Amino acid sequence: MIEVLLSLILVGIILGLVARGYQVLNQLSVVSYKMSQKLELSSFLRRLGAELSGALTVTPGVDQVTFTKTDPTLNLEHDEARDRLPWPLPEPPPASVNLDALNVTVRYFLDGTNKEIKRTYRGVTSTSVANVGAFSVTFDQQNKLATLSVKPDDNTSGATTTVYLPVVRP
Amino acid sequence: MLFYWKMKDKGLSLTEVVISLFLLSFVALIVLSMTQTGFLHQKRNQELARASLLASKTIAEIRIWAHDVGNFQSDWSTYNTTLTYPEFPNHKVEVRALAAGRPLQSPSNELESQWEGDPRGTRDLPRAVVPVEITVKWSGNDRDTFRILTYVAEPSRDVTGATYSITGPTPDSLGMNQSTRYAVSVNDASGRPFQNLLFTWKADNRYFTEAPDSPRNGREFRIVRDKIVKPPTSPPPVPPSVSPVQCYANFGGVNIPIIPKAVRLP
Repeated sequence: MIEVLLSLILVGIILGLVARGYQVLNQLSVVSYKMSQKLELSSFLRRLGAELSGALTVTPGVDQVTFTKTDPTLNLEHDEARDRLPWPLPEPPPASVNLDALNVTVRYFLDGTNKEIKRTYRGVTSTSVANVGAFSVTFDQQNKLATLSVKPDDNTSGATTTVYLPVVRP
Repeated sequence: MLFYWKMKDKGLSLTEVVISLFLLSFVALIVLSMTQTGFLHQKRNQELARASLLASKTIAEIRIWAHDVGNFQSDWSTYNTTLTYPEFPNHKVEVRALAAGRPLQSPSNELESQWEGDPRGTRDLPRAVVPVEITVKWSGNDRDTFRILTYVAEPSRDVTGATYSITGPTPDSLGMNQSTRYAVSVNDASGRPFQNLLFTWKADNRYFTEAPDSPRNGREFRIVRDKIVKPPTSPPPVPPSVSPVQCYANFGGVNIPIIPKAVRLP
């Protein structure tokens, strides 16, 4: 009888511990998921910032940003000499770089339905990052600084940074 | 098989249960410890990513600030400080800028390296870039630090209305085998110096030779009178009608007109 009682107590303790452990692991899993989400958003901002810093012109919008830049595949597609693409680009860019034929337009926008930020480039739209609740790109008065912000889909604190746009004309 | 039939009716003793529990708890502790370690590393990665974004933000702000020539030529005390941002409440940004700047060689180190050790020296832009070190901290622990070093270049300058200042020739009268020197500097319309401007000088080789120690950056020019001027016999002797020394400066494709004073040749 005592053994049964002790066994029951032990089983109870085990079940309690397992339940508590499961609860803690579940909480950790949620926190870990949110951290991964923020890391993904931070990584996205780094990529967008790197791409945006080489922009020639920018067009802000609500939940989106559109910008032109020199086609990075130019050398391959047009067999241009490497020195046709000076870096850093002088300000303002010379006419040879500022030709429309050499520029491409890139657009990042928030797809509210699917909670994704999508990128349109050369007519192809692809998903850059998912589970996004808010996306904003604001510019200072001279269009020389862009502040990028994204929030996860639960609208908790997200990631933000600022990018210098050396080539964009004020 | 015999062991199985013996155990079938016996069950587990309390000792066996306790040992099993001990083993299970040990395994659970290991798993929890691993989970916690992974969690902490993930948290640290998140902080590093945030610090990286904050460092980029600070660099962008410094670059736009240094885009103004007055700011670039200042002592950088505005940014030699610790910054805080409301959107990053747990982070501090320590900025250290070396306002004296660092030189760069023109057109490139590779081409200029041949002049190292030569009395004429390399063509240096003495304050071409300002090194900026950004350190982001998010706790009292030294390990929780993200550091990045970048260089901020001199902004493009407007040469409209630029003025030059020449001292020399010193002395202004040059006998045979004697030398004289010029020094030149250029300021923009607001009186701010073009610190990184290089000058090209030409001496009329009918009268002078460039001194072997005349700096190649052109901020100073030294000449030696080692030629005997032979006045023409017909028509009658006249003094030289051209300026014996010329100086050129070019910034961003725009020529800055500089007219050096002449040297008297007794």
